[in-house]
Amino acid sequence: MKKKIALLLAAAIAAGTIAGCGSQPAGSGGGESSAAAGIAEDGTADPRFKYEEPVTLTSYFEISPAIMGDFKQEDMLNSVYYTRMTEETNISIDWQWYAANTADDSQQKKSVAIASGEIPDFMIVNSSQLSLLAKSDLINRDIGKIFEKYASKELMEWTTGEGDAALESASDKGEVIAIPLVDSSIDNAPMMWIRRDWINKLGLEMPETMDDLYQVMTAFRDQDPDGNGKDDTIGMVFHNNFLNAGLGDGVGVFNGFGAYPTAWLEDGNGGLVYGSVKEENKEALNYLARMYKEGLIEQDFSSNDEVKASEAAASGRAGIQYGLMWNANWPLNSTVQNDEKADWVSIPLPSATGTEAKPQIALRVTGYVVVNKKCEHPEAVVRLLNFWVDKYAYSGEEYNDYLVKDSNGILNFPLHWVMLKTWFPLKNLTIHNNIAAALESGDSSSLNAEELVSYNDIQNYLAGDIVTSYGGMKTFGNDMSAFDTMNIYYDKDLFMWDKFTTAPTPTMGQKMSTVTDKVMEYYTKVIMGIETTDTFDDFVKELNSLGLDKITEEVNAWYAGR
Amino acid sequence: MKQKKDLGSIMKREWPLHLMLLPAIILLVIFAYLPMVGIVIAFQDFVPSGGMKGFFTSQWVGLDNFKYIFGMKDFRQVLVNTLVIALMKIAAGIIVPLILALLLNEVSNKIFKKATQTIIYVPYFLSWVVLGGILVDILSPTTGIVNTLITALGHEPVFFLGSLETIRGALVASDVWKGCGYNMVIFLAALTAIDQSQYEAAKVDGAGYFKQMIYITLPGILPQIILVTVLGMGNILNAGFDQVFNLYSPIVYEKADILDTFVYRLGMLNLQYSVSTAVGLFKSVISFILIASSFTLAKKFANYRIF
Repeated sequence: MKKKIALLLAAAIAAGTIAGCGSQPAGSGGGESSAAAGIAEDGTADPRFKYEEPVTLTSYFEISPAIMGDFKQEDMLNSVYYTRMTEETNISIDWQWYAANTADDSQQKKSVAIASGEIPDFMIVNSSQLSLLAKSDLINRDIGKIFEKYASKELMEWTTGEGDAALESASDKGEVIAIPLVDSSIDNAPMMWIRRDWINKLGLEMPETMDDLYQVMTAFRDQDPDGNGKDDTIGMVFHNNFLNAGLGDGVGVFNGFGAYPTAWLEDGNGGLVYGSVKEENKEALNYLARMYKEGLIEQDFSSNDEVKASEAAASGRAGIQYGLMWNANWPLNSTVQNDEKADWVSIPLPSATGTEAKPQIALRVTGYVVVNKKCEHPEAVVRLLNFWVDKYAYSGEEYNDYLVKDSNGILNFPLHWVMLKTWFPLKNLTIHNNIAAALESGDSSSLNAEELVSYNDIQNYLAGDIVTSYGGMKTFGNDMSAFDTMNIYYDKDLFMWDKFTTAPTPTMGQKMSTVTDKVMEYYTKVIMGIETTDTFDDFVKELNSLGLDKITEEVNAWYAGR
Repeated sequence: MKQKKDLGSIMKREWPLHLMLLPAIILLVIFAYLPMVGIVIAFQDFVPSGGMKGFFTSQWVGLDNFKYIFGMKDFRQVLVNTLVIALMKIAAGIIVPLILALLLNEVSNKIFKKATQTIIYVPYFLSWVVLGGILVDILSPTTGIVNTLITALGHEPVFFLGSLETIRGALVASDVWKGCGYNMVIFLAALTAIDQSQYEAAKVDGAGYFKQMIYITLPGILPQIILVTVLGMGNILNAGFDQVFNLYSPIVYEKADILDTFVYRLGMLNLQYSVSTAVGLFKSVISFILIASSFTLAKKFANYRIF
């Protein structure tokens, strides 16, 4: 490799400078006249305004792993959603690149863009990128005021539905400098997915404690639950990014032992402490280490990512998977394509503490929309968010126009094609409860368009088409579905909240990823038996020397002065 | 001497040659020299603000970034990894092709010889992105063909890419497998240049294959061996980003993380632009010293020169 990586960065910066010269004249000036778009005579803004002249915004498109396999640009660009968006608002989006939404792909491209200072009209960044941009003078710092002015009532309700924390987390020096894209925080609560058909076949009970779970996993591994006569099953799905709640992660295991890695928790003295360094993690790590040693998890989990690891569940080699509420939509639905009897159900986390396990959740901001300082129409971004809210949640009959067949042939709102999207708190739980009530009464007339799609999906499942409608039934249905579990959590208020809800502190922006990398490295080693938890104290010391002590100080300063 | 007296007449005669050189020089300036300005961010707390502007608006921090990296436990480990992996690769990358060249040279069947040579050369043309995916699959401890074989023979499966004992070996072996064709061809070319009459004379004197190899073949290609070795020294801090990046994982950082991958993660994923540039600059300076000295050595021992 002859190229010097060091120079690559510098090259990006220099190249940005060269490219920047060309775009400058277009960006400056002209901002005044158009900023008045959609303003009524009394000075209030119409959130559903339409530009008189066409407006084009540049941005980046990140392809979600869920649709990576069959994503076609033309399908997306020509979809009803985008054509109607341009018809109704006169805004179109010029996607400068399309890349997979992963660290090595789109995140890296965005880092280069930020380093070069050549960012598009709007882009969606994570909190570290936001804290770096906050120091730069690249972004429009008035976006908070513009948002307040142009956001529809519904968009504002969604954004502030869980309090001001979301907007606060997008603030710098008291100004809101980005639009937080929020999501229902409870939807990220870890739960357990388990094959009920295997449990029944082996005459077992649903696990309630971690010891139960160990027995069930051992049985799943040894007693040939799939009945193919081969010793090919494992205890549970597990992968190398196990502190990231998603599918096949280990967050639920930690929570089962009363440990909450990556979360900031109250230390009992009015301060906050980083969850990854607390003593309770040791028990969880030892448990996982035992699982690794006994072959209950794959021996090469450390080189498998989520997608690779989930093949074990899809192919019927594993019958237990910690994950989130959407797992039945993907990838667990593929299990039933191979094995009609596959009956995944969701249960609350098993616990080792004698009381119910508390699933950890954090304020859920899926991204921050930053707007380039040079963008002439910052309000257009808010207009597009309004459009999303209107069409996704309040479009009535029109909702059906937008539906697109996914790879399983089911009609769905094309969520993954929309970059500017936000959600409302308790949204999915509300949908579930309405559907459950309708299933009970047999009367679906009170359901809205989106609920009706899911309701019909479940009817389709009950009518026997279990392969196509598997995800709908297992997520929203009334038979040990994901949201049945969620209701248990919600009714008992079991959630363990991450108490840190603001923008990353300065040292956090700089050193947090080094700290989390170290945590992953150490945890992985313990699980694989290369280290033992005897060195846990040294590990904590090392984290502190990498900057965690400074970060904790800053976090506590924020917490005290909240 | 007389012709060199004025520049004008030289240019008049050689201008087409200079013109041909121009595109390369322009590209070199744009992509190699201009970006060097960016080195300043190694001495700043860099905050991007639109191209070059960040160079002027960022705060100067002197050598703080260098102090930070030399204080990092990971950095020292990464440096050691880079040196060890690069040295192993340079050594294996000479010995294996040399043996292959010597063996092939003794093969008299022309078709077999050419076919073998081509087959060995083929992986050289594949990118590490492709090979990385293939290797991860065939070396997998559960489903990989290699471990299927190992377990069939009654041994425990080996997690080549995921255990600290084997990762460096796997990196070096796969690198040699991919790249050995190139050096092998250099050695084969050198072998054909050896005067055949020397072998005839040796045979008359009663020297066998082995003796001929020791006393004629090896001395005959010694300059090429020295050349390849010495040029390799200049690459000692380049342990191969493309390869390592596609084969490593957090579990083996301790033994396989090298300077280039470290810089990539710091800069591209962790947004520590200044620290990452400082590491890169450090590497470039050391590499420059090594390249300069290896060039001097190459000139001295193998009479290899560019200028």
